[in-house]
Amino acid sequence: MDVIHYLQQGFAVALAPSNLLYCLIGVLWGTVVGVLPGLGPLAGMALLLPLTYKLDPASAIIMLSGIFYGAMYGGSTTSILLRIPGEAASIVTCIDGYEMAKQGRAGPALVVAAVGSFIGGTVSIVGLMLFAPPLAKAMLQVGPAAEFALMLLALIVMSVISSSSTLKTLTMILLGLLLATIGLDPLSGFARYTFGSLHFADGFNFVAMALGLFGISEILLNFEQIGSLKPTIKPTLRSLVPQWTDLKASAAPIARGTVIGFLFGFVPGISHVISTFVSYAVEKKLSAHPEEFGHGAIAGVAGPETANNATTGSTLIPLLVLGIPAIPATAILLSAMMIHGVEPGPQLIAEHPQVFWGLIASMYIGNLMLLVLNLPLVGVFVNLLRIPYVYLAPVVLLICVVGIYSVTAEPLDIFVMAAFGVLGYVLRKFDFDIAPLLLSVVLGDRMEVSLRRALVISNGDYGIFLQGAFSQVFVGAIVLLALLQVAAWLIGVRKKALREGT
Amino acid sequence: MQVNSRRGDLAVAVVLLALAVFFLWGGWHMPAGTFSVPGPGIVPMILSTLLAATALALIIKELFGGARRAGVPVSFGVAPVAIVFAALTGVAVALEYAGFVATLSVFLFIMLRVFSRLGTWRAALLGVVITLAAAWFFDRLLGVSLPRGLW
Repeated sequence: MDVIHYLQQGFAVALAPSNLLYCLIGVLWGTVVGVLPGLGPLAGMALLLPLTYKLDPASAIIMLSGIFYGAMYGGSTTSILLRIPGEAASIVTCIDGYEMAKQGRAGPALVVAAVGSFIGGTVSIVGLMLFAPPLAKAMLQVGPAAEFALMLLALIVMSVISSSSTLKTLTMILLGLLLATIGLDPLSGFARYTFGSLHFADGFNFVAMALGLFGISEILLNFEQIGSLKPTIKPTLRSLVPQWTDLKASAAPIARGTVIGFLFGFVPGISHVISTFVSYAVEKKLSAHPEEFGHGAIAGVAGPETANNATTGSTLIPLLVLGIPAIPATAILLSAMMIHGVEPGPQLIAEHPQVFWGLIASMYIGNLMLLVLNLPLVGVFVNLLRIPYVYLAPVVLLICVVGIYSVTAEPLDIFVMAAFGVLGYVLRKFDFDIAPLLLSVVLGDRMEVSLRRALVISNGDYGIFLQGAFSQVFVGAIVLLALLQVAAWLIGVRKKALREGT
Repeated sequence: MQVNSRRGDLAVAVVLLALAVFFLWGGWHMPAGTFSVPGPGIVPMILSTLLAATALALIIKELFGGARRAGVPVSFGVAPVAIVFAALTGVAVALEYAGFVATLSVFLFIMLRVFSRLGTWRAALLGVVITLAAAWFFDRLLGVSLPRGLW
């Protein structure tokens, strides 16, 4: 009953005309950044941050999260019509989506992607609404030792599931944690690696780092591919009317994609991307005609597109309940919340109910807006890609400059953004995963505080990390993962030795 | 420019090793405390030691472990990267002295002139028009305070 009562309050916030407008701006801008290669949800949110400064916290979070889930919708359009994934989570959709479009079935592919996205996104919000409040209550019992163990677990999971090698990912995590130590020591106030400059007293500006690593580096990568745009396949309006046979064939993949996406949303790192690959593999495995996959199988579009949208709600749970961003895009949301004086964590729901429940209600509305608006606007979004990248990129760079300058009014942050842009470009070229780097920077400070607080509480007894149910579960999971990694490595070494022996 | 992925990995690992040594040196000069009551220096020292270890492991892997692996050529857009980095650095330096409109107009002119096929005058005109539109949108409409420069 509590949930219904609070949800009513949330809808009162979300249905205010101004918040409806901000939600609409958010989802439309989200779709645009999802469509345009090089502008994912992270850059999309960072670029509109300045727009939120004069808004109240609830409106700001409603708009920014609209960008987050709107981007997941947008990525599918270009994947299907152009074979260009506007967003990393739409890479899988390119395979069968573009094949369907080539066979004249772009309409059904877009419809199924939109319906699957809507169902996955909506069910995910239900999960967020039902799981977040009790989880927040439980997490109030978590002390600094368990908090440290949980964050360590998150980093280890990231290293295991990362797209690049475990060693490279571990290196990125350590680099991120080390960069997080720059600035005043959170407990003693001792200045670390600031060289007497006040500018770095709070460390590197996070938004500058994020925009550099993800936005600028992507622009630099795209400059190499100028002129390689493929011809667009335009769907007819008639083909956008849902066909019963297509919807029937997609029902089971959509249901499975929802479950897969929601569960993977909890996994830190690049959960939304991985969920699409898992969903695709599951659909292919379960299909009566696996040979159709890669040649325009509708299940190959429905499952992954549903899965990537189903992560949006569950990905927000660690952020809102624990204050731990699971993916880089939600790290920007964390920054935005802090700027607006809303601290994510177990207390958020109690201290800022209008923000939490307003956000939930706005996500229901936003998903509906996306379903209704996206299909008729497909032509508009595709035309965006006709703007030559050589004109688009300088404008995006200009907006990045304004976005960064408006956060701190410090020109040095523009240099920080540029430097991290080059760093991101080089790292991505050599297959270093930059998501763990950014997330470690976010978690580093809190991990150190939790570690040192726990040791102060226990008078320096490291046994505190094994006390209490939460700590034991998290430490147990860390040990299990480490053992599994060692076992996998040993099996690999043995296989290699056997291969070389024969 | 083409760089072999093995050499690239090696170069990144060497830079990271140097960075780890730098952080270790910095941490060495901070109050370390003890393992039971860590001071501000202990976490950076532990992390930089671990980073040095993983960077060394990468170097060893590239030099010895993967000796039979040829690596793949990776293309590097050195010119666009250098131009964008230099232009953004220029913006960082000039922004508060020359103001938003002048600095970003020049920035956009350089970007458009270098990366598009626009002529000098068209690139300059487009640079000024886009910057003025952006200044109006952010400064007037959204109330974002943009630097006006020394004049």
